[in-house]
Amino acid sequence: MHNLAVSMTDICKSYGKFKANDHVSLHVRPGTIHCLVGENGAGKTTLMNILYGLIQKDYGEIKIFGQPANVKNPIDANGYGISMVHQHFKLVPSFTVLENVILGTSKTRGPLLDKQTLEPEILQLCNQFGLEIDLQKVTEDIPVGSQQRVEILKALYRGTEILILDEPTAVLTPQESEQLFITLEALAQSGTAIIFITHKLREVFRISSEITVMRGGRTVGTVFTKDVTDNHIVRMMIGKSISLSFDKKGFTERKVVLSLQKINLASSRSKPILENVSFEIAEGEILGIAGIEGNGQSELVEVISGAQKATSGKTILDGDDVSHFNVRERRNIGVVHIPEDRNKTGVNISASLLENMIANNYFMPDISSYGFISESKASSYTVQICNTYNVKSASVLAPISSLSGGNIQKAIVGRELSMPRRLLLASQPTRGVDIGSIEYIYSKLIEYRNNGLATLLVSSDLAEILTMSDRIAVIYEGKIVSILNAHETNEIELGFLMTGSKEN
Amino acid sequence: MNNGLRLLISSLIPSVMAAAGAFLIALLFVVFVRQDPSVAFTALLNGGFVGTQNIANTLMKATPLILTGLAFTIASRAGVFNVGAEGQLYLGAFFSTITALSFSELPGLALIPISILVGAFVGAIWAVFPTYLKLRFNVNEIISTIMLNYVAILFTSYLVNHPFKAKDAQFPATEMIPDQAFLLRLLPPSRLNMGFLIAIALVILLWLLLFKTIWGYDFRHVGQAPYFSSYIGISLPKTMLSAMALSGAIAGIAGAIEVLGVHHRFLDNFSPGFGFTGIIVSLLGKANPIGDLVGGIFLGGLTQGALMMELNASIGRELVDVIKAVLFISLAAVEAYKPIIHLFSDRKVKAQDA
Ligand SMILES: Nc1ncnc2c1ncn2[C@@H]1O[C@H](COP(=O)(O)OP(=O)(O)OP(=O)(O)O)[C@@H](O)[C@H]1O
Ligand SMILES: [Mg+2]
Repeated sequence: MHNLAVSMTDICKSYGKFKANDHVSLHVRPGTIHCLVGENGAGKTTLMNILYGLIQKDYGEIKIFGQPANVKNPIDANGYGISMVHQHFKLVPSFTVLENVILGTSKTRGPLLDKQTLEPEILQLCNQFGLEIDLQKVTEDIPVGSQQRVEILKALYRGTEILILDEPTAVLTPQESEQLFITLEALAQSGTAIIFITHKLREVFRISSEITVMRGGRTVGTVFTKDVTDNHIVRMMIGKSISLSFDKKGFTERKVVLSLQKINLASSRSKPILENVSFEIAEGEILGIAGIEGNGQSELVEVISGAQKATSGKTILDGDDVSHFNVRERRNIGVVHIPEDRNKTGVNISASLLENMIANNYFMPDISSYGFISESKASSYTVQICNTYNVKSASVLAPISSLSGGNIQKAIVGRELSMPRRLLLASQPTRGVDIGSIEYIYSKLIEYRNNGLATLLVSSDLAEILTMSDRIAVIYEGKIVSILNAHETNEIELGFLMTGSKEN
Repeated sequence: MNNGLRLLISSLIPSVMAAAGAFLIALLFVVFVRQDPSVAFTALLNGGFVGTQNIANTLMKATPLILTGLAFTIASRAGVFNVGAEGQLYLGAFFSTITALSFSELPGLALIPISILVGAFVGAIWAVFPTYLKLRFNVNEIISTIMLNYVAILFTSYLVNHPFKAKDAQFPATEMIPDQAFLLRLLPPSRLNMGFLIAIALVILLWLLLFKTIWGYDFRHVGQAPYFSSYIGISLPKTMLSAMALSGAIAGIAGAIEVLGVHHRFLDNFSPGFGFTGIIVSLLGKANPIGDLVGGIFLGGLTQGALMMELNASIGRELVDVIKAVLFISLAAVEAYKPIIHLFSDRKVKAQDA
């Protein structure tokens, strides 16, 4: 076997004058996990899409196991043993897991699918790599973590030797991520070369043996993970080191902004989704919600934003009962919201950047008059958000899908924080965002907090909760089990509470 | 701009390919019945698009198709599928006839708009009803609107056969509406009338509405991204109801114009499936009002051409139905398979992932 599974040399790719990849090189050994890191828009996804044949390079050379390769489309890529797991899965939602796995392979004879004979073979693969999936389930009914395992299973079934994963952990809980790492390690053991894109340095150091850093469309360098520290990598990525500690000023007099009183949310199943949830958030306070995903956090945010009606209980905003307000009425009195699912909820992915940026005020006099949207007002408003929040896009009319993932996230944050605001609901605000931008988003959140904004922060990242929050509420099975001062607790205590274990 | 133009052209490719494919299959049919295809198609195209009277008749036949195309477009933009334009058109036609008959002492300047508005209103109600069922009881609107077509068609058929049948008529039809309610004929002897100009005005209005106003913003985003829309506070029920009301109103107007402009009375079974052809028009026109205008004229021209072809080349006008059917199947297939097509050829979609 050749000593390099993938060798990409001097790859160039331009969009108009913009160089998304500028003489990029990447060399990956078989049987290793190679992390590809860099700021939002550095060109990581572009490079991987070239390797997978989704887009064509302008210049450069690709060798697969030493042989020059001409990858014109994903089918070619499969032929070279390359598979890619996209952040947005390409599964047919109404198919069963099994049907998705065998879709497009020609291992059956005749016109009919012979699922019986294929099943044991696929089960064997699952066992070998510790992938826990029910093959008979319909794909849209299983959680994202499992859907991702289906993507990996698909790749394995097609006989992958080179596996690309583009930010696979962005949508996973820490537990699901750990499960993924175990599978990937088993895969690497069996000789597969794995390219892994992530913004979380912790993960880089957890699984990789080599790291390639990209910046502004170029490769900064490749290093052995054991030779470097995270500071080192951060400096390679953004040219300076970063401190994620902030100057939080305290408030003497605190007016309560949000007060939840005994919120209950029933479900069709026996257990309620939210049970007697009560808490308050004051001006200038960040309340973090810590919990394992699926314990009611999403629904809690929906109840406060007005997207779901609580079964009982009151939502009080600045002293007024707003329990019966709908989403827009709440937004109009200053509830802004960074949603957890960026592409499905946070933006209309088929619309332009501009249309997405005016979503909160297209009906207001700053953008429209007599019902007509003013294109010039809308576009200068969009430009203003892009400048303030450092959103990089070719033009305001570009489809928002042409922005890199992190830039879409910054655009959402910018859109929400540009509105008059009293209460910010922030769900996973830094998901898929690079470290530099995380620092920027954090500094904005703190700045607004210091100016009196009340913030509810939901995150699956405990470190984020601990750095940002003033107080932390732990949610477990729909109940707030504890509310703690952030500087009086730690990850261990939180982790303990999050699993429902009582302290005493 | 250059880029926008390219996008526009590439989005039209399916329509153009479907049209070409439909003609090709029609050609096979012509060969199959041992006729000369060049004669057939020359007669078809000349009959539809050459000569003042032919063009006038094409536009006359295009008028209801443009309108039903618009009706389908406006609803589908908001994510609801109005397959009930046919029924809405019948009810609109019938009630606008009744209005014109009941207020025959009014001057034309009042009677025409009132009759058209009544048609629009009845059409709107007939479209809002299934939408309400969809929102309240989760009844699939495609099924319910199809079913309601039969109710509307048979109901008007009963009315025109019994209580409202004109005394001297040999066939089921109402009395003639008063002269002052007739829409002005533009190029007699063709029955092309002011209704065509109303259709053009609606094309422009709906284009503005969809792409330039805050209501169009609501429609388009609800149709494209329902989760996003409710997150930013657009009311999905309200938007869908108003899109359907508008859609039904336009179908009702189409019916009213057929009465006031063409037949001057309500005739039993007068529509050769305008409502259904409107779906093809909208699919051809990519759910864009301007596209509906072009698609409506194209299909109107084929219908008109078919008549001339039958007269001059003695090839059955049913040939055009074959073309329409193939068009519909291929356009619908493109829509239905879009997600799967994307699955395999993402090159243009690019990395929507991070
Ligand atoms: N089709 C396109 N048209 C114009 N610009 C594009 C297109 N595709 C990508 N770009 C630009 O190329 C740059 C690199 O994008 P890419 O998606 O590779 O970044 P990335 O490193 O994956 O970032 P992230 O970490 O945010 O996912 C971005 O600035 C993006 O806007
Ligand atoms: Mg990316």
